[in-house]
Amino acid sequence: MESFQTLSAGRCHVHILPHAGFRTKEVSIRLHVRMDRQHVTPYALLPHMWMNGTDKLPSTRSLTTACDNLYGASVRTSLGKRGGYHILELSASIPDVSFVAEDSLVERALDLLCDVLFDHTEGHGCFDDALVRRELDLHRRRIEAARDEKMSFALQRCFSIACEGTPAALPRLGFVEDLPKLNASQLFGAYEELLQNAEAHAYIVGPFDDLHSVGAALLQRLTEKMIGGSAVPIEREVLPRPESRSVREVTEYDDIHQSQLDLAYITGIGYADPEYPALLMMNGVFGGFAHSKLFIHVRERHSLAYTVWSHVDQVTGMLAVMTGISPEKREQALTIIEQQLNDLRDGKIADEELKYTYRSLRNQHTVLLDQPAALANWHHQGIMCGRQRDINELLTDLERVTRDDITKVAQAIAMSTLYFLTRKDEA
Amino acid sequence: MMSKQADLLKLTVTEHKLANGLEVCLMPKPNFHQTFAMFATKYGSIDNEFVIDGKRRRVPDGIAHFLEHKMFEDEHVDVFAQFAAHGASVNAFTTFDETAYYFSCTSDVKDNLNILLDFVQRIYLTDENVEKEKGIIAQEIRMGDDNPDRRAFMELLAAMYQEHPVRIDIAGSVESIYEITKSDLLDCYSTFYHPSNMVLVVVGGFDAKEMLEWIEQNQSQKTFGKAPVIERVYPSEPEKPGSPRHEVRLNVTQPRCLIGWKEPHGTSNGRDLLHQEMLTGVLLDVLFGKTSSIYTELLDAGLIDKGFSWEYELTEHYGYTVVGGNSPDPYALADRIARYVSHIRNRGIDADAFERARKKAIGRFIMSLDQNAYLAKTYLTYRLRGASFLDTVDALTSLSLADANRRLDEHLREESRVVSLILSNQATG
Repeated sequence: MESFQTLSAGRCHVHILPHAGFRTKEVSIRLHVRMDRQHVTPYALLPHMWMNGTDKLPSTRSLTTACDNLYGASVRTSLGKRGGYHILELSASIPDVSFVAEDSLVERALDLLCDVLFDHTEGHGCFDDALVRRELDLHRRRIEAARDEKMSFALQRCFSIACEGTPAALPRLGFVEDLPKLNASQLFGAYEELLQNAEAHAYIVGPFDDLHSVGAALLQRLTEKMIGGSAVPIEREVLPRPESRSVREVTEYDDIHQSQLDLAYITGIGYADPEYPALLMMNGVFGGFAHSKLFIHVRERHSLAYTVWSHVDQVTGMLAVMTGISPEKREQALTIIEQQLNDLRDGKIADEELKYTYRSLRNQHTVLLDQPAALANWHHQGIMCGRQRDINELLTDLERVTRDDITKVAQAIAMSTLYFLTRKDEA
Repeated sequence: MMSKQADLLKLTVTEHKLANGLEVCLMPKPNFHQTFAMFATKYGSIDNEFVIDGKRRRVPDGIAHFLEHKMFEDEHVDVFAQFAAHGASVNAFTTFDETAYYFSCTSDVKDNLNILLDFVQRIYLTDENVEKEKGIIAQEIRMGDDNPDRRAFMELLAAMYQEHPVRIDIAGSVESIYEITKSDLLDCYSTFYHPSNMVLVVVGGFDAKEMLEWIEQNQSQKTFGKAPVIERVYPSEPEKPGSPRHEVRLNVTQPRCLIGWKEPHGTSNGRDLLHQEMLTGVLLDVLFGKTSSIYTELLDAGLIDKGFSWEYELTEHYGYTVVGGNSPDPYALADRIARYVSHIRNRGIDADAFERARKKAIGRFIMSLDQNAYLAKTYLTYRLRGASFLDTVDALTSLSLADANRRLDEHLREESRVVSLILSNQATG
């Protein structure tokens, strides 16, 4: 696996990777910061606000026009969350249009990207009162709209309930009730705090001619504004396996055609742990793929669902099962899901299941090597999980996982939360 | 064989027509680990009436999608397992006018290619396996029923089209899929899955010569009979929309508002189709993109959120523009957009904005070539419609401001406009 070269100063890091054969140059800057109740909502607003304008280009329209003028270089911001960390991301995809365009677009796009992050003063641009009020209203609607996506809403609810009491349970977008209390100056204060406290990881990947100097220039711009401090190790957030095997059942109601059944299991294993490859294999045999036990039994054999998957949260080590079913099939679906897990606990895993799962995971990971943006994500995932894993080394580890290893993982995990989103009985 | 070295695009494409009529398009990308292959038939949800054995046959709605599910059935080994054994991931989708099957892999390319060609070119149906699929697809339909964006879109087409089956949901309804029988499925399969009605596109890290040999080897071992002449029957569709407005109440927090304009007819010439799509796309980006005056106005007025967007679709038989998104006051939004369009129609679009949108479209096209799955899918869809995706830059370069204003005048007419609203049924106050 080709590896990133890293330039660091204080809390700022620039990771560069040349990658030929592409027409897109990718740059992304990711700021991560620990979530807490006080900052979660203002921090969630910032990436949306940044795109509303800079001091030089004080409106969404002038800012977007500047991007479109760069042959549609896409400059954007987004808000992510991993465990109890917020990740505020700014990125630019720059097309290689050297056959039609007069000069390189890279410098101008990078200037624009840095301005979106730094070119703000109190009361101006995106911190203008009217623009802030507009964004607060949009954010309220953004939080409310999450409820309209039933499947992801249900999974999110299940996750929050299972992590209750930890920063990981805080919602990515923050809280509606915080919005009326926020104004432009408080948000500017939050912005300054973010720049004082966040750690920055920037990625530059793709067909650049002078990658090193582009990287050094970006690092300098980051450190000019993010002065002082040093990188802080990521806190471990893997949920410990519970002492008692009690399941928390929560049913919520909505006027929906299909019910959502979501189950959270605590594994006690995170991305950095030695058992992680065994957990990935176990999840693959259980419900990660279309050859997995859940898909075959819940969907193909019993026709209960169209969607049925399991997946692992690398930070908390939670294994979640999600499925959409008819409301009256709840017990049947639950029994079949638990039966599959019990089969894993009893070591009922065919040679084919092991082989298919390993080969599917190998494919899933090898594909990443083709995609510069995916490699950046992979590296950043290592940062956020406290361990860099080389893709090829992980594949070697996965190949070594035995039936016994998987059985041990399955035996150790316990259901912690059962979440059911359904419609109220007509009766 | 046709070979095109698209130097500017750093992409080599070869197209071949095999003896059995199958069209093959290969886009090798040296040094890539991934190979992505897509095998599709020009057969979608709108093809619900056709001639078989000299007789017209109307089949239940949603059958093309149902057949897509059933193609994964195998007498001996589950198709998902066959691919998993060779480390590939596989999936499929059905649209109004296409059914496509695809895999992505990073090893065993030849094995996976053979599995793809073999499972799509062999059908295994029993009354039992047809029955058991109904519960699964019913849940897929229910999932769509709970998706307000999808509902808004389908209601828009149902308002726009009076007769044409593009007004019917691709998956059909829970009622219509329960009518589907094994023999219906076999009739559709024998009519639409002949290689002469299909295209195979492969993108990624393979050798083109070797790949073609593998494909020819696979196909030469099978016999398909003479290519049938497919007679599709579509009802005649009036040029005007059927109803100016559709409203549905759902349990949503954010109402939805989509505004659509119907094309009076489709376009069967591939060059014209690509040209019209690019032209309309640039026009819509100028009118409704994030750099338009209306976008900022609507955002400031609280009538839209940042998900406000547009799309344009054109095929041989139908075409439409859709604009909209979430809105707390969908009536006001529909009204405001109608007035805006009428105003712009009188004065035309801005030359600078047109130039900027055209350049943006070129840049976005260039970047899209890096996405193998997108490239294969888009190339294939255009191919089935008789157009060449890689002519995009030429098409965009040839556009003029006068073309765009002419398009604005002929397409965004008041009489072809429809509105679809998803209103909240949540108790207020």
